[in-house]
Parts: sequence; C-alpha cells; structure tokens
Amino acid sequence: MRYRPAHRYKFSASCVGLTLCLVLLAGCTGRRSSTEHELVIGARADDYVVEPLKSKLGMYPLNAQICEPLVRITADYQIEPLLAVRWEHRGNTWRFFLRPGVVFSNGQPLTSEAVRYTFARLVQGDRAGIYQHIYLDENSVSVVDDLTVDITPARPNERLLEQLGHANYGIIAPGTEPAAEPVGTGPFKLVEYQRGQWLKLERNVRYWGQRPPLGRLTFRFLPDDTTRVLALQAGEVGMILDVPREQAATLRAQRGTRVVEAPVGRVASIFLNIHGQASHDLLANRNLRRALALALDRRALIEKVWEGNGELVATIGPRAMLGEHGSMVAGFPYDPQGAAQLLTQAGWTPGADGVRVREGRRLTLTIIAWPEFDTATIEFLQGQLATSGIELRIMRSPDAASYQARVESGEFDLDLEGANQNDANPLFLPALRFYSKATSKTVRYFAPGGRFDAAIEAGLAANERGQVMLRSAEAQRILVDEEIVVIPLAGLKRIYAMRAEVRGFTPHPSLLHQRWDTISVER
Amino acid sequence: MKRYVLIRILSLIPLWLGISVLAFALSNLAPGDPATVIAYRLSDAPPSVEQIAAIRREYHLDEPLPVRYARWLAAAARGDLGISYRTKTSVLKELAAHFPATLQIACAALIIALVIALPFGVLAAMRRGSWFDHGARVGALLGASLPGYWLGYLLILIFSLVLGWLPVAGRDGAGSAALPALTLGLGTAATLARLTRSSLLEVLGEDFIRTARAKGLGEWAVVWRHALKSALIPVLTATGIAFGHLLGGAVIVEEIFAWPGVGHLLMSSIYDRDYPMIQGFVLFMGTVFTLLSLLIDLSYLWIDPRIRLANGRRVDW
Repeated sequence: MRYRPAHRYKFSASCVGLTLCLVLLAGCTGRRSSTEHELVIGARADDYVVEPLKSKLGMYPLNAQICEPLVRITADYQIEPLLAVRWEHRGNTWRFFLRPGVVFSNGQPLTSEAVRYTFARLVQGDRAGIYQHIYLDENSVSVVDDLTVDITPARPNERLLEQLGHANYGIIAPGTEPAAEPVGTGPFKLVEYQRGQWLKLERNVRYWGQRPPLGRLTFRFLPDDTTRVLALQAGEVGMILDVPREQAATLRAQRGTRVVEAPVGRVASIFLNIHGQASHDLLANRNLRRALALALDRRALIEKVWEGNGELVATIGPRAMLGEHGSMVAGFPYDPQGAAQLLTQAGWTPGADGVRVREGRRLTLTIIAWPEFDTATIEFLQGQLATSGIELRIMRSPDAASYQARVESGEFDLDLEGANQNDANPLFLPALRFYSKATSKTVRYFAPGGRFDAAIEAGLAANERGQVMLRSAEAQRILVDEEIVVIPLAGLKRIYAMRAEVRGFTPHPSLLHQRWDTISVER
Repeated sequence: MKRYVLIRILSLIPLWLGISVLAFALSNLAPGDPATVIAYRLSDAPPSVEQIAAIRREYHLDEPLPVRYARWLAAAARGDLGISYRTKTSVLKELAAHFPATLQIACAALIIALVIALPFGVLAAMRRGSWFDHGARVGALLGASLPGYWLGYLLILIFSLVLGWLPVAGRDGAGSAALPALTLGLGTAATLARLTRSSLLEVLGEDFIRTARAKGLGEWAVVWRHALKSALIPVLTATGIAFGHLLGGAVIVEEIFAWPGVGHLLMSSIYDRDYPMIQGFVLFMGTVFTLLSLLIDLSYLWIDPRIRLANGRRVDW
C-alpha cells in the first residue's frame, strides 16, 4: 500500500469546503427581485403540448394571452367581440367581420387568411379527429375578403360561436408554428419558454387594445402546492394560482398577502353509474339514487371540510350558464330520515354492523374520484352515507390516467368529478357527459336517454341563446331532480393569492379565460 | 485483471436484458391508457372512442405487447430509446437534456454528505460513548428518518423565508442547487456517518492498530495514517450506491424544488403514461447504476492492497 500523506486529505477537504461555500454564496445572489412593471406568477405543472401542428403553447391549458380568439367569453359566460367585431349566422355558415387595424406581435396584419391558416393547421394536426366536436374540416373556412371570413362546419353546429371563445382557437399569424413560437395579437408576446420552468412574456407594444400595465409577465411552473405557497411567502413570486384550499386561511391571515376567490367555474358532482354491470348494478334503482341524494349534507361538506371554499349549487355547471332558467333545477335537501325511509321501503334493512342488507346483499357502493379531490372529502362522503346505512368503498386513483382507466372500465358505482366549463355553450357539460349519442367512452354509464336526449337535441338545434339555456336547464332538471344520474355537491371556487401590491386582478370562473392584461403592481 | 473486467462487463448484458423486461412490463402493465391521456392533453373534453383508436394506431399501441417489446429492444440495442409520446422528441435527447441538472444536485449532495459524514463518523468513533457520539447518533437517526419532502420544506422555511438567502425553487442561478442538494445530502450523510463510525470502530480494534499504538503513535496519527483507509472501504461502497440512489431517486425532491432533472421528467412521464420515456429512464438509470457498481468493484483493486486478482479469479486475503 502506498502511503498517502495527510496534507493530501487536507487539500481535498479544503476543495470540498470551498465548493460548498461557493455554492452557498452564489445562492445569496439567487433571489429574484421584481420591479413595478414585472410580475412573476407561480403556476402549476407545465402541461403545454409542444408537438408541431398540435402545440397550443401559451394558449391551453394555461392561457397567457399571447393569442386571441375571434370572440371573448366574459365572467358571466356571455360572448363579446374580440378579434371579430361582429358576426352573422345564416344556415350553417358563420360570417365573421374582423377588427380592422389589428397586427400580430411580429408586425403581420390580421386578415382573414390568418383565420383560415389557424383552423387549417388545427384540422391538419387532427390526425386523431380531436376537433370533431366543433365539426370543422379542411373546407370549413373560406376567405371572403381581407377582413371577412366564413366558417361553415362540416355538420350543422349552432353552438359554434360559443365554442370559438375557447383558448384553443386563438388566431395565430400565417406561416408561424406555436410549437416554435406562438405569434398572436394578444396583449403579451413570448420572450422565452423553458419547458417545465417558465414562460416569460413581455408587453406587446403593437397591441390593438389598451396596453397592459405590466411590462413583463412570467409564469413559473411550480408543481408542488406547498412550494408554490412558500414561494409567495418568500416574495419569489408575486401571485400564485390554484392555492390549496387548506392553506387559504393561513394566507388570508398573513399581512401583505391577499386571497381572491373566483366565481364558481365548475361543480363537484357525483356521477351515478346507472347502467352498471354485475356488482355495480345497484344504482339502476331510482329510489336508491334518491336516497343517496337525500343522505348527503352538502353544506356541512363546504363548511367543515372545505373551510367555506365552496358554494351550494343544484346545477352541474356554473349557474350563469343557465341564466334565468337556473332555478328550474331544484336539487335535494339534506334529509337523512327521508333517505332512511326510502331505503327501508326498498327492502334495505339495517344489518348488525349498521350497513343495510337486502336478500343477503350488503348495500355497498364503490366510489372513484378525480385525483384532485382529497381523501378528507371522500371520507366525509363515506361517513355521511354510513349514517344512512350505506357502505362506501373508496377506490383512490393515484393519477389522472389510472382514474380515466377506471371510469372507462365501468367498475364503480359513484364517480366524483369536477368538470370545468371553459366555453360559453350551455349544453357543453350535459351533452358531453350524458347525451346517449355523444362519442365519449364513458357516456354509456350515465346516459338516461329518453326525455333528456330530446331536451339536448332541441337545445343543439336552437339558434337563440335563451332557448339553449332553457333546454339545458330542462336537461339538467331531468338529470338532477328526476333521473338523479348526478348529484351536484358544491360549486368550486378557484383560489388565487397575491402580494398586496398586485392590483387590477379580476378573477374569471374559468382559468382559461383569466385576463392578466388588467393587472398592475403598485409599490 | 483484463479478463476479470471483461467478465464483469459481459455479465451486465443479462442484467440489462432483465432491466429492459422490467422497464417495459412495469410501464405497460400499469393502469391507464396513454392514448386517452394524449387525447385529453390535446383537447379539453373527454375523447371519443374513434379519437382514442386513432391515437392508438398512430403510436402503435394497438400492436401486441411482445411485438412492441421486441421493436423497442432492437432499437434500444442500437442506442435509440424511441420517441416520447409527450414531446415527440428523442427519449435519449430528453434524458441528456435533463440529466445534467440531476447530476448537479447529486454531486453537490454527495459532497455535502461526505463533508458531514466523514468528520462526524470519525469523531464519533474516536470518542465512543461520549456526548458527541450520542449527539451524532441522534443526529444521524433524525437525518435518516426525516422524509425528504418534509426536510425540503423545512429548509425552504429556514433558508428562503427566514434568512432569505436561497431561492425557493427552480434552476435559476448556481444558488438554486443548494437547497435540493442539502435536502438530498443530509439524508445520505446520516447513513454514511453511522457507517463510517462503525467501520472505523471495527478497524480500531484490529491487531495492526494495536501495533501502531504500541509504537507510540498518537491517536490522530493512528486513525489518519492507519485506520481510516481500511475503514473507508465499506464507506466507499455505500457512497457509490448512495450516488446511484441520488441520481435515480431524487424524484420527490426534484418535484418539490421544481428542479428540471430526470426525476422531474420521470414524474410527468408517469402521469402521462409516456411509455418510451419511462422505459428509457429505467434502462438509462439501470445502466448508470450497474456501471457505477462496476466502477466501485474495480476501484477496490486500486484501494485495497489485500484484494488482488490471480489468473482472472478474484482472491481476498
């Protein structure tokens, strides 16, 4: 063995120590500071698709207002002009008159060709038919003149205008590809995108509307909920999206921090598998479904589990979608006695352990849930149903993919979901999830058919928005009050937190339509 | 010697085959359909049966598992780990792009671990039964028991919120590596410190140490010149294994600190059922780990004079 002198060890130790010191010292300069013209927003995980022809970078699922669609969806889900100043609807053709004088952030003027290019790209990237639900094909868009464009869906689609407000249909500059760089007409333009790290934007000086007060806007992707909150508290970001419900109260109590709740944009609902096979066939019985609806204390769920961050609703989507017809859907009160009575009448009698039994079969239901719902929520439902003698077996899914697989398998009785309303089509949710002719794989477990389908078809054919709302309300009344295929639990409010200096933020019920161009930072 | 190295390298081939089978089976047999995930990512509504079928065809997911495995393995043997479902780019390129970030915190964590573990382990052994030894034992127990995510949050609270020295998350500037590295390093330090202590204690009880002491050498000289080198052999093995774990097991820490390494990449790939990426990751990390083990084994030949090779056969004496 060769002797190694001690000073060699000392030297190695010194090198290691020096390295550590450098790392730590460098860290001292790592803090970011923001000027009054700059805001850093902590967002969840980066879910942008960056594949050419399919990329919606900056548009979906986080709309950074780089691109703008033809129309805008307001906070009460009304349609207002954006890149189109007006439109006409004749037969199955929609004629849009574009806003004059608008230029893209690269200097190209907005013309009908840009609209044609945008939709042609979407259709071209649609090898899997993703755009089927708005029924556009390669011949759907035709240029009338520089500022007039016709859109004719391949199939009659009265709901097209309400769908086109979705961020997926942001207009891009001809010849550009968002996978490389999204070029739009919006108030911000892309500076840098680092996948999984950040999306850096700056004010679009060519913007046609009122220019945003913020000179620079950065979305930092911080997938961990607690890290996002800590980043706000450390002043590393000025605002965070999707504040965890359980941390909202702490942030509210903190000086210099403001917590803002958006209006209800989605509803937590239990979908009932009414066409289940074998061990999941109990909910074919309507009285049992009614008993379930009566056995749940939604108010207690909101107050005790969600710490007040929810709203009692009877509809399956935001009530604004139904306008004055929202009151047509009544929902069910909390009535455990009524639930018990219904179960007893149906022959379900309490067993030795409190779980009801009929002809040797225990009243056991399996619940699955979208992974975002926490265990506390599901265990609360379990406890509530237990008091009525209904045993709830919880099948948790660790992620969205395994949850989707379970829903598609039909191996469940109850499915806890919280679907977003991201366009202005009042029929979007009921038609998508419950209409028997819908193409979704899971509709076969929930579709009540009959009068519900008739209401949806009447709504799809209606061209007056009030009529569509009425038909959607009718359809939801059948779903919720009559057939009891779905039990709306509560409206979910998206929670934002920001430093007190952040001003001008008006929350939209849908994150996809959230405006960042009104925000300023004041010292 | 050469023969021994060759045999060791050839023995990696069946190991890699086993890893490839595991990687393929684990990702493909997990519940969840990548076609459905892809469809959801492209749209904002539940996809139709036709849409999912089209995606399955496009990504060859409609082919039997053995066919897909054979195709993947053949390509992997040529160094092609496939194309990511999520990004449509080469898996190898993705791994190469994310690996330096992981390597950065793994190396920093290892340095931190060794800087803490070696002095504490040596001192604890030299002062066996003292308050320092007991303190170091409690510290090591804590370090080994604390979950990485909890320690991560605690360090953020101290260094970012209270002291304001270090950024909370992200990879933006050299200092951003400090907290994830510290989180990983402290847990590893605890294990290595205990191992250093016990290994050194064992060596300090051997005859040659008694001889050294009889020669009148001071305790420090006995430890530094004679005992430590022998005592560090098991520590070296553990360090190599720990480094492998740091490279492949930093998933939670990378997620907490939004650190764009391979762990972060793996998490999003699992969520998206990005089979080529998951398989590529497992194969890649398996390769790194096995090569690391090989290097450690070979390093014994250099470090320990008692280990020699005779006629391609390893002999310990």
